[in-house]
Formats: sequence, structure tokens, C-alpha cells
Amino acid sequence: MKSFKIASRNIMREKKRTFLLAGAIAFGVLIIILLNGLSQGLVGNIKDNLSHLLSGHIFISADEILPTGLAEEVIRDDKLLKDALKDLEIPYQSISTRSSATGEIIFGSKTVRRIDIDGVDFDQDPDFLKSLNIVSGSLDTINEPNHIIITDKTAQKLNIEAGEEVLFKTTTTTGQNNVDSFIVSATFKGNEIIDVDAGYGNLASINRIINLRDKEFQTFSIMLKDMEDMEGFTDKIYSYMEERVKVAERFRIDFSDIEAMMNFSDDDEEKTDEEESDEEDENPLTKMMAMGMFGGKVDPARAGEITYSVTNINDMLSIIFSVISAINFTATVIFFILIIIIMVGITNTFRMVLIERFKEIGTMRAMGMQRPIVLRIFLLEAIFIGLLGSFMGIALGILIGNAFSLISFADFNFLSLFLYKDHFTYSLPVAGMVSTLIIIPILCIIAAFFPSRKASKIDPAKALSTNF
Amino acid sequence: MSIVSLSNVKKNYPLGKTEVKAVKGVSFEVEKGDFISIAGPSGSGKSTILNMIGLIDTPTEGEVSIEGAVTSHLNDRQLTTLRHKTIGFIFQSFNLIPVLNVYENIDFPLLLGKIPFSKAEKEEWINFLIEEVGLTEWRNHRPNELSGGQRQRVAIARALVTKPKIVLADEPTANLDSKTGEAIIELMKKINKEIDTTFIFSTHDPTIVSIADHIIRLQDGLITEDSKTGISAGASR
Ligand SMILES: Nc1ncnc2c1ncn2[C@@H]1O[C@H](COP(=O)(O)OP(=O)(O)OP(=O)(O)O)[C@@H](O)[C@H]1O
Ligand SMILES: [Mg+2]
Repeated sequence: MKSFKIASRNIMREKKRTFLLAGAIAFGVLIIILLNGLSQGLVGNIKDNLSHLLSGHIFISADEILPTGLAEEVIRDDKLLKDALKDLEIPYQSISTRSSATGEIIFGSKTVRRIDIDGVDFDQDPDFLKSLNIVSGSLDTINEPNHIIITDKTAQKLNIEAGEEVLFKTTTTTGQNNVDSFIVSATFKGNEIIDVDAGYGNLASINRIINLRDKEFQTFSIMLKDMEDMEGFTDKIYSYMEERVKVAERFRIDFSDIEAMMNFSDDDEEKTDEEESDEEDENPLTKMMAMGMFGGKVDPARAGEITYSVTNINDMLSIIFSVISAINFTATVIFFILIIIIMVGITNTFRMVLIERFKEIGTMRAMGMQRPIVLRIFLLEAIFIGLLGSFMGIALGILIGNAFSLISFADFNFLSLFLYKDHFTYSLPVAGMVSTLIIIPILCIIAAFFPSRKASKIDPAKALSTNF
Repeated sequence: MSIVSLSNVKKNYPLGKTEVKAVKGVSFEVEKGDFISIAGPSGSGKSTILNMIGLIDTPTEGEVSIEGAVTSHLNDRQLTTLRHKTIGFIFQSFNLIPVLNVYENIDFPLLLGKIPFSKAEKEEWINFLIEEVGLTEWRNHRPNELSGGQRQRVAIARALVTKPKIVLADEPTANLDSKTGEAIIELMKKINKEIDTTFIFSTHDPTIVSIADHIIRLQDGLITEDSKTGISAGASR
């Protein structure tokens, strides 16, 4: 307790020096706490937004090999899936069955290429429409045949208003070209990261143009009550299905893969092909491609074979997560480089302190201060500086993080996937805070150790004989 | 029993490849309650002897005994504890802690070991010492607000706070003018009589030497005169 008192008094002796060191530590801590909190918030927002956008957390799709040897992405019967939900007692908020058509929309002389229109069973998934931000028109007619909604941006490109009729040219699940006219009942605010040009229609209408039957669909999405349970339930569903049907090996895909899966573009397909080509044949993506998902053919003898696949938001975001963890890792590396520099500073400062207090230490030793107490006082001073810096950095990080999350990014559409209600989210990086408060004082102890030990070994007779 | 006893104490300091013989075989006794001066010119070994009595330096040869107990076998921790318990130091350049006020400076040695009295007793004792050295009005001032003489008074009070049996003062007046220096020695002598503490101080100032009851004169690392035993030897090698 007494060394505590002496040490705390000592660090206040050279306030400027103390705050300079603590400030340097605070700067490093600030970076970590800020980035940690923002990336944590970012991950949460991406997951939230994506699960809204895709209407689910866990997705099941299937590929069926046709007599031609081509594969068709379709689920004809949802009984197995419904049974899985019931048998596994999965607490879901909603389920959604969807199809997807990719093609181009033509209006007069204007064409928008590469648009992805999802067919949604709106009756089954009533919350989805509510989550959309309608810009013009109305949703009243959305369940009527050949009615769709598109993003305001797409509408602008086509120079159309809600209520007008457009041509939608797409390919069926078996690869034939198809075209039909659709009425645009409404436009909504789009999300630029996922859907450059996107739209939704009722499941039956979209099924018709891609040549599926009314009740068929391509993706079965499960929105859980609690997103936290996602991994566990994905595993359960996977094992459940694996026992009963053929299921493709689970894999993590990134955004370009999602686009490829949705048949967004040929370029992406090629890119994916290149990226994955050196992987073993077991890779489900390669398998899927082999199965004809991207135009390849397999042995027609395998006709009727259905391969399910199960993915979840985490799988889809694994690349984003690895980018974020790479950023966090870089921040940590920078942090540690900074801390090493600071440690050198601390070592030097304590050497200086040692010289400055040479006589004082001699005096205290003469008056009866034990060696270990000298050491303890020095190390306590180092710990105090470390803690002071850590607390300052944490406080500043939280302050700046929260201030940053007050800024509206409503005008930055391309960021919308990362935002919650137009704002970045700063979520308290508890683990980062705790580890900072443990690691920094320890590093400060290490940095101060040798000068401190030297201080404790000062020979009082020698220290007292120096007359200045 | 003498409170301090030196028997044939020698101290050599390494100096490059050779050695400096700072103390060349010194023996004397200090009785309890003595007010003793170690006098001698610069380099005669005064500081070296005081450091050895103060247990912050150890003899190369010979034995320093405190209250009849030999000290040569003690380790640093034991020496430090013994120092804290039995010895108070007064330094030539005062060595007060600049960030502490008068009261806190005097209190400081009590932070370094077991306090033999309660908080109230402690405060009473420190206030008594402050009054004794005449600094009641300066109680809450920091050292840099005090004159040299006042600072040395703080140092005297500080040296006494642990109720040591021996107070050592290495040239306590060297940084003071002669009048102030004399006053400091007189104050030490007054306290020496009042609370029966043994004072050992070194000086090369003849007027100050004369205040002492017991004088040991040094020359070149050897005793030339011990006023108590009456020994008066030539500094022969
Ligand atoms: N740490 C040391 N290393 C080497 N030589 C030393 C050391 N301490 C003292 N000496 C030498 O020992 C001798 C005695 O020194 P000491 O300091 O005891 O003398 P002193 O009587 O106190 O002198 P002064 O009046 O100048 O303080 C001197 O020659 C000095 O140079
Ligand atoms: Mg000296």
C-alpha cells in the first residue's frame, strides 16, 4: 500500500512526461478499440442487413440432373425441409421460398442488363415487403400475375414510372431464352452492394418465366428467431439432410460466388472458375459447375439425381469476415509495432528516471527502504502509466467510435450493407478492452524492468557520495 | 556496552587496477548519548567511516558492531532493517523529497517499515519534532520554499522520526553559512540532551568541532586523536 502511495506520487512529479508516455499508449489503444468496435458493429450490420435482404439466415437449395445431362436448380417438394424444421424443433421467425431470374429489362430503346428478379412467396413471408423502402407506386398489386417491383435506380435507368409495362428477358432453369412482359407496380430504394439492379415479383410469376411450376422454388430461406444460433442449427439441418438425401459438402463462399450462384454474370463465372480450378474435385462449387449449373453437362445416366446444399449468412460472408479480420490483424500488428516503440520509450524514460532519482533512491535506501520495494515502486509507476494510457485510449476510442456512428451516411448508397439506419454501428469491444487492460500493463512492466532492477541495486553509499 | 564499536576497521576502494586505502585500521567506541564529532581534512576518511557505521557500506576488514552486535555477517535485507530501526541520517545536501511538504518529509521514513505507534501518536510525535526544530509555521511548505538552515532542520526531524538510537550526520553544516551551521549543531546538541539520542557528525570546521563532547580526529585514514581515550598518535604508516 505504501509503495502504491509513493509510486502514484512519483508519476505525478513529471506530469508532462507521464502524459506523453500515457498519451502514446492511448493512441495505440485508441486505434485498436476504435477499429475493433467498428468492425464488430460492421459484422453485425452486414449479417442483419443480409438476412433481411435474403430473407433468412440459413439457405437450402438443390440441383437436379435432367435427362439431358444438364442440371436444374430447383426444389420441387418442400416436405423434407418442413420436416427438418419440425423434427429439429428449429425456432424460426419465418421461412421463405424463392426463385431467381436473371436477365435484362427492356423498355423502349432502353435496356438494363444483368438484373436479378427474385420470386418471393409474399403470403408466406409478409414481413419482407414491409422491410422494403418504397419510393413510388404501391404494393397492392404485387401478387397479381406478371407484376414486379424494381429499384428506383433501375427505374431511372429505364426512365419509367411505376405502373408502366416492361419486357423481361431471361433464361429458364434449363438454359432456354424466355421473354415476357411485366408491370412495374412500385419502385424501392436499392442496396448497391448486393443488387446493382434488382427486383422482386411474386413467386408464381417468376417461376413461370424460368419454367418452374407454381409451387416449386429454388431457395428455401429460414429466418431464425435468434441469429446467434445460426451455426448450430445449420449444422443440425445439414446432418439431418445428409442422413436422408445427397447434400453437397458445406463450403464458404464469398460475394462473387453468391453472384455466380445467382447467375449474375459470365465474367464472375469465369473468375470463379479460375479461382476454384486448382481446388480438388470434391469442391462443391466445381461439382456444381460440373453438374451443369453454369452450363456444363454431366452423364445423362445420372438424371434425377438431386444434390442439396445448405449455407448460411456466415458462409456467404466468410470472405468479408476474413477481410475484416485481416484489417483487425493489421491494426493489431500496427498496434504492437507502436507499442514496441513506446516500450523503448518507457525503457529510456525509466533509465532517465533512474539517473534523476539516483540520490533520492540512495537516501531512501539509507533511511531503510528495502531493495524489492524500490523495484516495486518503479514497476508500479510503469503499470500506472500503462493503465492511464489504456484507460485514456479506451475512453477516446469509445468516444470517437460513438461520435462516428452519429454521422449519417444516407447519401452513400454503396455503404448501405454496412449501415444500420444509415449509420455505422460502434459496438463495445469488450474482449479488446479487457485484453488491452491486461496486456499493456504487462508490456509496461517488461519495458521498465531492467532500469527498475538497476534502481533497486543502487549502492546507497555511492548514490549519496555524488554531490549534486 | 558501547552503542557503536569499530575494531581495526579498514576500507579499500578499487581504483582502476590499484586500490585506494580510504580507512587504514580504525578502532573506537561510541557510548550511548554521546555527541561525537569526527573531524579531519578532506579525504581523511570521515564519510567512509560514517557510511560503515550507518551500514550503507561494509568494511574490507575489521568489524563494526551496533549495540554490541557484529554486523559483518548480515545480508542487505537485514542491514536495511537494522538501519531503519536504529539509525537516522542527516545529509550534507539535506536530501529532502522535493514533492513532499515538511510534515510529509518527516513522515516519510515511517512509510518504510513497521510503525511502532498509532496514527494519533504518530501525528503528535511529528508535530513535537516540528516544534522542536522550530518549523511549526512551515509545516505545510515544500523544501524549495525553505532556507538551507530550515531544510537541515527538516532533515534533523526526519532523522529522528523513527526514534533511532544513533543519528549520523556527514558534514551537516557544509552547505550552510557558519552562523546557521553552528545553530544546527546547537540544535542537534539540544535534542541529544533532551531525548538521549547518540549523534555522530563529521566536519572539518574547527568551531563546530569544539561543540562536540567527544572528538575523533582523522588524518589520512587513521585516528590521530580520540578525546575520550586520550589517545593521540602520530599518523604513521
Ligand atoms: N567509492 C569510492 N571509490 C574510490 N575511492 C573512494 C570512494 N569513496 C571514497 N574514496 C576515497 O577514499 C578516501 C576517503 O574518502 P572520504 O570520502 O571518506 O573522505 P572525507 O574525509 O569524507 O572527505 P571530504 O571531507 O572531502 O568529504 C578519499 O581518498 C577518496 O578519494
Ligand atoms: Mg566526506
